[in-house]
Amino acid sequence: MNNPRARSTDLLLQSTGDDLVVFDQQRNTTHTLNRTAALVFEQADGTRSVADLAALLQAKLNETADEDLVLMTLDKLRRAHLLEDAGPRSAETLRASRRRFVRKIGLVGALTLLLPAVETIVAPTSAMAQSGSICAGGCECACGCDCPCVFCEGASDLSASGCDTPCEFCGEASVGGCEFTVGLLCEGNVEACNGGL
Amino acid sequence: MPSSNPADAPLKMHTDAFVEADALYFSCYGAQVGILADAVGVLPALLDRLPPHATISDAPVSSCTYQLRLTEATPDSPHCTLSLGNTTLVDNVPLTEGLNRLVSSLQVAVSCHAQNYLFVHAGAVVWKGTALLLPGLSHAGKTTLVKALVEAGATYYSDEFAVLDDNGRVHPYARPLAVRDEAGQVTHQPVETLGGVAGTKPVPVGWMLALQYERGAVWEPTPLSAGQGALRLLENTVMARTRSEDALRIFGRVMETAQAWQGKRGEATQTVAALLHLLEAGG
Repeated sequence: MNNPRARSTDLLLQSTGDDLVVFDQQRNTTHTLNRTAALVFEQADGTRSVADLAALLQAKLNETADEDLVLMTLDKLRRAHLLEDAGPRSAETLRASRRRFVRKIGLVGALTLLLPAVETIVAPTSAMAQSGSICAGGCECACGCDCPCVFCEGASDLSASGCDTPCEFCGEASVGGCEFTVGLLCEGNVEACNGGL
Repeated sequence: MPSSNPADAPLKMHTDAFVEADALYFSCYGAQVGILADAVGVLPALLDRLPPHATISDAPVSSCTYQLRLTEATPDSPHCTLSLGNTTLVDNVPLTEGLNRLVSSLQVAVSCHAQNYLFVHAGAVVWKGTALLLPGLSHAGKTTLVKALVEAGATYYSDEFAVLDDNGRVHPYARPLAVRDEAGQVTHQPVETLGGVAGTKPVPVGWMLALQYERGAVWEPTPLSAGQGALRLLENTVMARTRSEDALRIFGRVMETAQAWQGKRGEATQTVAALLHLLEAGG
């Protein structure tokens, strides 16, 4: 496995409290990375191995941190398109990392704060952020600038139940609950999307 | 602009070429907006319906210019077409409807073209010197909650837009509250008619509550991290994409002082009691 390298182009970064807020100018998505995810994102520069990153997390966060935690974090960053290398690990490998680490720390208590969290939204278009102008089939932009609907990107056929575009992140059809819906209703593979939790 | 009654406007038939007969320019939070009409007597009706804190300009400068064209010569039923740039917003509708559409669109224009300020869809009140933001899109119940907070003694800042400056402070956008009745009819009520007062000065944000109305919901808000709070603001920001850099910087400053919560809420009166208890307890 090559050393992981975080994306560095077309991103705006803002430290906010313990979190790092990242705006992706290519995809118009915004992510909030908790401290674990932020540390891995900031330090994964292609020169550090997974073991190096684990040592860094141990020093900065808690000695319980290990390579499984780093791998879980990298998977979350990868799904958010924040890593240069795009190849995902298999769902089974991912589940194994997660199982091992969760078994190690338990599911309750302060150590669960070590778990990486990446929350993602699609930045709204001006039309979507206006009262009364959320696309419901008409895609009318209240300011008259004709911005495309954030959901259907101008297709103007969003029904009350939402557009059926596959989830941007897992790219599959599923039965809801995907944490990466980012405005595109995930109809598919919850397990792949949620990392098997 | 001698008359303020649109029905008194001298009307004329629609022609392809727009001939400007009257103009109104204003600025608001750095947005410069122009309205051109092809008849005199129409625009004065807008003077007391401009966005709050708008200042009439003498100079014909605008980053956003509307054209209002009268389209029918029937004095009893004047009609109009309203356009913005190359986009027709309404075509040959009753003049009153066209003006209502224009008034609504002017607020949007200001929110999009504001300079040095960022507009976030959020109710805003001040409680004991610190601002409380309630982000949410239309029909999220912002006005209902803001109205209840004002009636409980909060200072009114806005029921629609939190206007944030570069330091993360919120400025007043004290338009009349758009109160919706059970039938969905909206009436515009100046805050003074509710016994409240509007704020005049910028204040730092102390709390940000992303609340979603649900009938019978139990009040159990959960705290958000600073980054999550910033995300809740960003997803309600008017120019989130084109001003993403400003938004991140400003929200970073907001969250230096603000505590953020999210959750479901029930009826406004119960929510306000619980919410004020939360604020009094220091979050």
